[in-house]
Amino acid sequence: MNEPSTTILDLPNELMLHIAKHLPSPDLLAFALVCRSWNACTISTIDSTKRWREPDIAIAPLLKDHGSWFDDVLADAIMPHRRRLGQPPKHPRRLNDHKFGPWLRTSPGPSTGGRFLPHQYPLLWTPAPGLSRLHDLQLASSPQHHRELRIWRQDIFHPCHRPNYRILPPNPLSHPQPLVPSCRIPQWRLAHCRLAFRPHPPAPRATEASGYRSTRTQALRRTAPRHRRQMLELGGASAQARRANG
Amino acid sequence: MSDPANITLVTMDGTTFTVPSAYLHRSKLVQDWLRSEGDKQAMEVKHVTPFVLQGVLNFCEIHAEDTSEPLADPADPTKPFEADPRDDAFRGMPDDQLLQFTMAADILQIPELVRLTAQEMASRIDGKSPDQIRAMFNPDDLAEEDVDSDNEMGEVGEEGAISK
Repeated sequence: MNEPSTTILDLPNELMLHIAKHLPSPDLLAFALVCRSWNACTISTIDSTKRWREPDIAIAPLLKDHGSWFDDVLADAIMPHRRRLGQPPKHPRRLNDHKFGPWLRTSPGPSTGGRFLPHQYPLLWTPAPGLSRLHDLQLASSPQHHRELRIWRQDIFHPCHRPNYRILPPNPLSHPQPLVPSCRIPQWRLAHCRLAFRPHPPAPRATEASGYRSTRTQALRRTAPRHRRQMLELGGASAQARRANG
Repeated sequence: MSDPANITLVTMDGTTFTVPSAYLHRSKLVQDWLRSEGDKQAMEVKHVTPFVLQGVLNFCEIHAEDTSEPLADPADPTKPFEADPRDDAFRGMPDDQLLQFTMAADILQIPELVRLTAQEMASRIDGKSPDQIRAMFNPDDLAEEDVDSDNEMGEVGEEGAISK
């Protein structure tokens, strides 16, 4: 009987993982390169061995030829849900956008009109109670954490926490205002602080000795055409001559 | 109804093997089949050739008297792999037969045999280049549909994570 030929590509994913766990890094990469031509998503499961990231000089010549695919393998291994869905691996440069969402971008995207949306800017504040900044970044993708952030934001703007309950701040959900990162004080608080307002210094008193001219004359000098200004100059000169002669 | 002391296995071409059930007490597939469909005449083992099944049954017969606990994970790093001289016959077989034994061990879900064949395959891959590995285990050329379509990667989920 003619038996069907079996190749290494016929092995199931779990079996490839078992084999890969017995391999050191360079051979692991070579093994992955063989299976890459069949399905990069399958062999990327060997990243669970965590031996990809070991610095090994022997990997360098292989990475020279297959570096881009190596990045894809890493990106796919980091995102197991894409592997489960059977989707192709994703490049690491798009990893943050996909994993953490747009609210952790350094600047708001053009889709939001260049400003942070209400569900984005709470992360500009101090971390939520009980969470460090790093935990905020790491947990920001979970729906549970989104709900906690929403509750925390409502707690911040609770009336009991306002410095002056007679001052109603704008609704942060409908009027998101950029916060001051350095002092972390909302703009609406700064606007109602009386020390922030300082009266203008008094204007110097206008006198004839200081070259004061009436407002009408100044306006006329500014707005009159050239021949009109010449008439004014001539008129002033003839009056001085009359005064000197008389 | 089949004898509970023995079990009959039928390969892909209809060849039957009747062995004591105690031989296959480490096979999870056989144990599950005995619990669910043990009243049937024979158990079909598709995708396994008679030669490979004979070799697997030999392995099971050799290790039938072992008192060690079954492996939960064949690749468990906490349990070191110790070469058994009784398994030398499996280490000296050609590459294509080793592949078939590896697949049969995975089909029958025998962790000890999976560990043995995976270890042997890893030792053969050790130190080989990708081209050499292809020559050893991948003699066939790739089909066109097997090649990944990298062009469409990244397009999926571009804005999928944006909420509202």
